[in-house]
Amino acid sequence: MPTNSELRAASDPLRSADADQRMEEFKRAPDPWKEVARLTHGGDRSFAYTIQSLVWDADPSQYPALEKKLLEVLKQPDCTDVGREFVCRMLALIGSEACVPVLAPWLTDEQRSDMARYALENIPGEAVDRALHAALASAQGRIREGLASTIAARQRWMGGRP
Amino acid sequence: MNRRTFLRSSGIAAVSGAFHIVPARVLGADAPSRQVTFGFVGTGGMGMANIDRVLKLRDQGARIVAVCDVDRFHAEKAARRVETVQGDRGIHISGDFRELTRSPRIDAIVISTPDHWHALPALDAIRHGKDVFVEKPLTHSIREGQLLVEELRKHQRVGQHGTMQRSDRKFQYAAEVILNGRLGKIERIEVLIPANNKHCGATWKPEPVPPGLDYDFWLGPAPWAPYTSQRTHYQFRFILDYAGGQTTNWGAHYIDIAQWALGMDESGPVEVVGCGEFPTTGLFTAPTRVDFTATYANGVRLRVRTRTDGVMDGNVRFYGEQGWLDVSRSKLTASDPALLKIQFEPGERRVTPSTDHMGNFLECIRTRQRPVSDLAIGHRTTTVCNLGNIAMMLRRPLKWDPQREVFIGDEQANRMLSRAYRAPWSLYA
Repeated sequence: MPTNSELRAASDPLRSADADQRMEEFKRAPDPWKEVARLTHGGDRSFAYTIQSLVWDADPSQYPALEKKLLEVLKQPDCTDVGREFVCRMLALIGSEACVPVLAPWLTDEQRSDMARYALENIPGEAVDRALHAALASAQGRIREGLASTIAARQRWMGGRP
Repeated sequence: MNRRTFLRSSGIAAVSGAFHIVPARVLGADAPSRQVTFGFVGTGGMGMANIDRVLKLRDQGARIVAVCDVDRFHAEKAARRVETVQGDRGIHISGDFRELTRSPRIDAIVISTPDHWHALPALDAIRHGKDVFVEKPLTHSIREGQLLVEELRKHQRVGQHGTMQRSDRKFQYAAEVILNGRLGKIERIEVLIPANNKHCGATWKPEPVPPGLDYDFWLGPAPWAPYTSQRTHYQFRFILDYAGGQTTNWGAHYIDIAQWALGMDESGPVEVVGCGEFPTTGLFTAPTRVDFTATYANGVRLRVRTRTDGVMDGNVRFYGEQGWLDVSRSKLTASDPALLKIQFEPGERRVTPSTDHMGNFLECIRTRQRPVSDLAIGHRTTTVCNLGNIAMMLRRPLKWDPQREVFIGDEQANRMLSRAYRAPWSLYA
C-alpha cells in the first residue's frame, strides 16, 4: 500500500517536495504547548494562535484531551502571566469542572483572580459554583467585586447558584 | 476624582451643583423651555461628530451640559467646542461616566466610546433614568445586548442605536422596495464591507501611557494589557478584546439594512457559517478577511464579505425574482431603472421618514416613542455581526435560535456569547 507521500510524489513531484519540506520544518518547529507558556505582551504569539485554532476546531470528544494539555501548561513553573491568561481564555471555551482544582486557589489571588474567572465564568457545573462562593466568603475589595460579578453572570445565564 | 474615590462616595452627591440646567424630565416634556440636557460619554472621533449633531439641534432645545472621556485632552477639546458653539461657560468635564449617568441634571447620554465600553455606561444611564444614544455596534457581546434591551424596557427609557443609515432616504427606499415585495421573493443578499484600514507589525512593544489618559479606565472590563499607542484610539477596533473588527464596525451599518428590509428587526438568522481569516501574530486579532453567510428561516442567504477595491464604504445588494437592487451611502442602483422609481401605493408598508438620526432621538425623548433605530433593533443587527465573527472562528456551520438567542447543539459557540469582565466592572446591578 503506497503512502500518501509516495502517491503525491508519483503524481506531482514538485508539490510533493514542498510537502516533504513542510514536514521537515514542522519536525524542527518548537512545541507550541511549551512555547505558549513563554508568551509575553508584544512577543510572537503565533504558537498561541496554533493552539487557539486547535481549540476552535476541536470536536467535543477532543475537549478532555485539550483541557488536560492546557492545564499542564498552567502547571509549568516558568509559565508567564500572559501564558496563563491565554490558557484560561482557552479553558473558558472547552474547560470542564476538571479545571476547578487548579483554578480555585487562584480566585483569591490578587494577580490571578481575573484570569481564573475568565475561565470559570463560562464553565457549567456545581463544583465551579462552590469554588466561586467559597472564594467570595473570604475575598475583599476588587477581587470580591469580580467574584460577585461572575456569580451574578452565572445565575443570570446558566441558572447558577445565587 | 478617580474611580476608587467615586465608588466610595455617593455618585449624585459627588456631582450635585455641578450643572445649573433643569432637565426636561423635571419640568415635563411639555415644559416651556422644552430643553433636553445631554451628557457625552466618549469624545473622540465619533463623539465629536455626535456633539456636532446635537449642537445643530440647539434651536430645538438640545443643550450639552457635560462631557466625559478618559483621555483628558479629548474631553477638554470637546468642552471647548461645545462652549464655543453654545456660547456658554462651565461645561462639566469628567473622566468618569458615572458623574454623568447618575446626575439628576442630565436627560440623555450619548455614548461614543470604544465598543467594549458601550454596555456599561448605557446600562448605568438606563438604570438611572436616562435616555441613551449608543454608537454602533451596540455591544461587544451578544449577552450584553440582551441585558441592555431588557433594562431599556424595564426602565421605560428611549434608546437610539447609532446606525444612522436608517435616517437616509436611499436606504429607506431600498427597505420599502424589499418589504413590499417589489423585487419579488428575495433569494439572497450580498453585503460588502471595507477591509481593515490600519495595520500593525508581527510584534509590538509596551509604551509609556501618555499624559492625560486614564489607561486603566480605558481598559475597563477588558483583560489588562500594557499600553501601546496602536491599542487605543481608532485602532482598538482591530483587537477582539475591545471590538469585532470591520465585521461589527461596518457590518453593523449594512447588515442593519438587510435585517430591516427582511423584516427581521426583532429576530435573526437560523444558521451561520464562516471562513474568514484572522491574524496569527501581532497586536491586532480581528479578522483581516471577512466571509460568512447567515441563513434565515425563509431560506434567504445573507453573505457578508470584505471588499478588495480599497473603497471605504460598504454596500448591500438584494437579489430577488424581479432583479437586483443595490444601495450604499453614495448610490442606489438596480438591474432595471424602473426599480429606482417605484411609487408606493396606499396601504403599502412605509418606514418612518427620519432624515436626522439624532433629531429623531431628540423627538422620541419628548414623545416617548421608539426611535427608528431602537436599541432592540440594534441588538439584533449587532448579534448578526457577532454571529459572523463566531462562525469565522469556529469554521463550522452553527445553528442559531433567534427566539432563545442561543446556539443549538454547540457548547463552545454558546460560551462565546459573553466574556468575563475584569474586576471591579460588572454588568449586573
